[in-house]
Amino acid sequence: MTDDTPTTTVSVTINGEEYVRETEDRRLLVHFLREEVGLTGTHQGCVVGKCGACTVLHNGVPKKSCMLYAAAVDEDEITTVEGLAKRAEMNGVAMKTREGTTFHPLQMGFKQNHGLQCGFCTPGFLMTATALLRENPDPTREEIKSAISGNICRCTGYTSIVDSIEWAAARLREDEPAVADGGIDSTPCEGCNCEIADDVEGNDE
Amino acid sequence: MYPRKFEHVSVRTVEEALDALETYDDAELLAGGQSLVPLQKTRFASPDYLIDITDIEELRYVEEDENEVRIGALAKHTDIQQANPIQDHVRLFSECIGEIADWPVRNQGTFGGTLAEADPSGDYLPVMKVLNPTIELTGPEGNREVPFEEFYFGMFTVDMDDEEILTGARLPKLQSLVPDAVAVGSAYEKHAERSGDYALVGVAIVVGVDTDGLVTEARVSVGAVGPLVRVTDAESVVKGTTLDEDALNAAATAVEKTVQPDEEGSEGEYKEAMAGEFAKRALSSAYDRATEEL
Ligand SMILES: Cc1cc2nc3c(=O)[nH]c(=O)nc-3n(C[C@H](O)[C@H](O)[C@H](O)COP(=O)(O)OP(=O)(O)OC[C@H]3O[C@@H](n4cnc5c(N)ncnc54)[C@H](O)[C@@H]3O)c2cc1C
Ligand code: FES
Ligand code: FES
Repeated sequence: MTDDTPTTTVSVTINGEEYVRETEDRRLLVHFLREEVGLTGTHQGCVVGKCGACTVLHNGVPKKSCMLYAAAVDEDEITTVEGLAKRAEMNGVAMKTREGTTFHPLQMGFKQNHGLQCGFCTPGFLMTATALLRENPDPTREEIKSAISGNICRCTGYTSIVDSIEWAAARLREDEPAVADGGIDSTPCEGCNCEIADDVEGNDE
Repeated sequence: MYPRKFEHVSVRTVEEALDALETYDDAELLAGGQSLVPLQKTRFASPDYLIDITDIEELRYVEEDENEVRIGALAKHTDIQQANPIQDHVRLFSECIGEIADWPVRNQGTFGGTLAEADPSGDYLPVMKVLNPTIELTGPEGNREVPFEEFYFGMFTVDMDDEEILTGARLPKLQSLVPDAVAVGSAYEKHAERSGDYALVGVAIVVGVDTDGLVTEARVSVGAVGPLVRVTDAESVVKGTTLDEDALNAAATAVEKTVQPDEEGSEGEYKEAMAGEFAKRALSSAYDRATEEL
């Protein structure tokens, strides 16, 4: 950075942790997250506010991080896809895959219901869906579609994404306690007789 | 896709914002940034200073008075859409906002920024045209109020000085626009290529009816097809009718004749035809909403 480049010291809470960084005033939040904080889960697609890959929660509300300056979110709270699992743990709704990865029910929903193919768009969908389910725990398919209309996916054709969000909504409404390691969930899955609902590898057949 | 260098200046009150506008040359206000940030990225706007007014909490409100709903410049689209006074008394505006972009953009874009930007394809304009709200401004010389009709000069141009700030507006409750009616209905219909795109056509309607379901008064406005217009010919042909097929067709014809699309040839003809079609749809739903209340 040259001397004539205006910078701001931005102090922002991301996924519950405080980060302080001096950054160029013209730095977009998406670039701040990826390049200065190293959280590359938030993706950059179009950078013009159209694709939603960069969606994060800003003080709990979904926004496109390519349309905000980092300097403008000073002292605010940001949640990115990296913070989802921790958030689920805090709320006692976390799920575990057989490999032992902790997931938010929405992440598990996308895994179980083939809500992703290449996965580029997925972080954005997850963030929008997180906010949707908090506002409306029992959305109709139409309401889900309306909420995610600012997120573009070139792979899935959306049906499986809507399925994934519905699946997670149903799980969250059941108010299940945190699922023990190993992916054993007390609800038997539909369509097969196994007892393991949340482990896609275990169930896939 | 990087904006040119600028200095970010954060302000918390209207006074600080006015001071900053006076202090800094070549400054722009940053409200939601959902118009300005893309303009900066494409270098259509390259101010030296951005005065960030997003955190001026005193300008983020939606409140109800007897005949009006007052909206602060920094109310987000979503704040307005969900506010009871708007849903109850200015329904078409809530409906209009539901058509803007998508949820994340509506969570960030503001009322004042949208009015100040005056994008001719934006969804607010036809609604403002039928409502004619009072726009509230403040500047070094003090406060000033202008009716929307005088505030809006034409696309991207409004009656606002470089050192002024739009602080809010007062929207009339629909009932006060049609005082002779026993019930009132309103609708906003948008035609766009894809959900969330800017409008090809935007139509705003307010309809008042008497106890027999006859239209006492109607307001019809069309945006995004050439200059923003009130279609008074359509308003008069529907008056005294029950908005039957004939009245709707006559209104559509009036709309098609009045609008002046910027595009030539088939594209212009298409927009004209869609303006008529969407005016019909909006008139029907506004009328149904009015008669439901009888
Ligand atoms: C992907 C995308 C899709 C969109 N689709 C639509 C759509 O379908 N329909 C639609 O209507 N809009 C659409 N928009 C625009 C959106 O509604 C914007 O929020 C709005 O036009 C501008 O509001 P803002 O608060 O973001 O303003 P900003 O971008 O912050 O500001 C816009 C201009 O107004 C000035 N300004 C801001 N606030 C004030 C104030 N209080 N006083 C004086 N000047 C001020 C700024 O200096 C700037 O010049 C879209 C935007 C995006 C990114
Ligand atoms: S990268 Fe932000 S919306 Fe596409
Ligand atoms: S999974 Fe590839 S873009 Fe959505």
